[in-house]
Amino acid sequence: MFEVSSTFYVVLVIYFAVIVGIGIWAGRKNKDSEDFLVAGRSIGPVVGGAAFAATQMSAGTFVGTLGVHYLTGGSFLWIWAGLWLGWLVSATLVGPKFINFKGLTVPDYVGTRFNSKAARGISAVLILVAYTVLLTAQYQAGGNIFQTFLGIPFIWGALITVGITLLYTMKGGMRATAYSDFVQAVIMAGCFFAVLPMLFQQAGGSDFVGKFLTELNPNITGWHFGAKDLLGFGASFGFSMAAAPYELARMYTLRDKKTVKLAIGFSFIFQAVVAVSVAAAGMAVRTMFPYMSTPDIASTIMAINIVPPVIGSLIIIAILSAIMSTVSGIMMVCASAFSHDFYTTMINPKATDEQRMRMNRIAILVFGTLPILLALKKFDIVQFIVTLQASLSASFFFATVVLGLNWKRGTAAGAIVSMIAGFFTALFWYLAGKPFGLSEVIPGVLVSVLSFVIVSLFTKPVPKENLKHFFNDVA
Amino acid sequence: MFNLGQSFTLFVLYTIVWIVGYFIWASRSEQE
Repeated sequence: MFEVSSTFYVVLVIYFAVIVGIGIWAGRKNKDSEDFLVAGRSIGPVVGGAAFAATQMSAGTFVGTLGVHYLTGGSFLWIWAGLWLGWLVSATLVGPKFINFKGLTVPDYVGTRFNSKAARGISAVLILVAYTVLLTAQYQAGGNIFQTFLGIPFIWGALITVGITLLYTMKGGMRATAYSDFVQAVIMAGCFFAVLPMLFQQAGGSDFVGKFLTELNPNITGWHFGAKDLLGFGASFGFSMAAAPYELARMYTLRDKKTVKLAIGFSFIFQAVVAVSVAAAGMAVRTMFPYMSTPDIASTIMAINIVPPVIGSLIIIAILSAIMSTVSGIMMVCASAFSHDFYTTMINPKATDEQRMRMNRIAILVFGTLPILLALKKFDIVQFIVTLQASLSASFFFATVVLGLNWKRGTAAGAIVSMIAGFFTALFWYLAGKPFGLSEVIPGVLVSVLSFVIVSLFTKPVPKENLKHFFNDVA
Repeated sequence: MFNLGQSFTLFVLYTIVWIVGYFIWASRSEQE
């Protein structure tokens, strides 16, 4: 267990106070339910970029990915290149059109673009199921951190993680999520980058680390993963990121088209600092402890055994930040899918703004606490969905979002068939044991694109009234 | 900064070129 100094508790309390304070401040700034869901469309490029990066990076980045670098060295860094290609698709073909539309949720786009309540409902259901379950994994990670480092029982750790995140998200909505993400992204990137000089000094310097690892296994400093592996991983991450609903929802919060493009650029900076720092840290830890039982404990060993307690505390805060920023972003996406796309659009279209605000907060509370029960029950299906959610949501949304925004002929039937066909192709590909060693996301996206095009060509086009929100040349 | 092998160094260089290139594209595309 971590040797807890009082400094750690002081730092932890300050951290919690700052993000809850952001929640209270954001709550005061929000004037109506639209403000609550899209932060008044007022977020600038730096805060927006940090929010993109913070939402994308989770506990997995600092625990699982650091472990992969510990085991395999630097070549795994190249998966970020694929991921950034996905972001480039987002910056060129998706983000600017989302901004023009000025919607509130991702299903809002689906319903309006395709003039279809069924398509809107199907996309909202997938978001609710996949993301509610995904939250479970984040809660488990939060509980594990408190248990491993502080000896606090798992359930209390999970409850602290959820409770604080619920508090600021329910109070300040998307504005609180965006600004707290900024603070959390700075903590993540800053802490892991700042710890490197100390880590390498203790490991004997970067020259020694390089020589030691090359002697241990030349692939660690060379290419453990070859071009085929990296292309597979890269495509899988890239497709997922180009149409990830929790990132798409952030587009609505930004000021204008220029802000979207710059924000994605700033998110690259945050991601790059974290990527390089995590890789370097993993390789330094390998030099000091070359034969750990499991690479997943490399970040824990770093915080507990290698750096001084104060720095170790900051590393724990950085991992907690990664969890909480992802949780808060997902809570908002789930809650808005229910409150806006079911309650306001289908159940009670005449709801007052006060009723909408109340429903937003109730939905955050319900969809934020439900995963605690799933985390305690430890259903097998939870782990299954967590593993597959990025592939399934990419196979589900890629054609509907990327083609839907850029090809006028796309129809509601095309979108519905493509979402369902893409989803089940990815699922069955995975269950079939990934034939040809191909990640399930590639056939999933391919089938969703093909079915979108073929079915759209044989069905009635969407009325111009709906298309004009997305295409400048439609009057 | 670090001497951690070819895959690591090349990625750091790639990242710098990618980010600089991206910002040049982002600002030019908005001027048009």
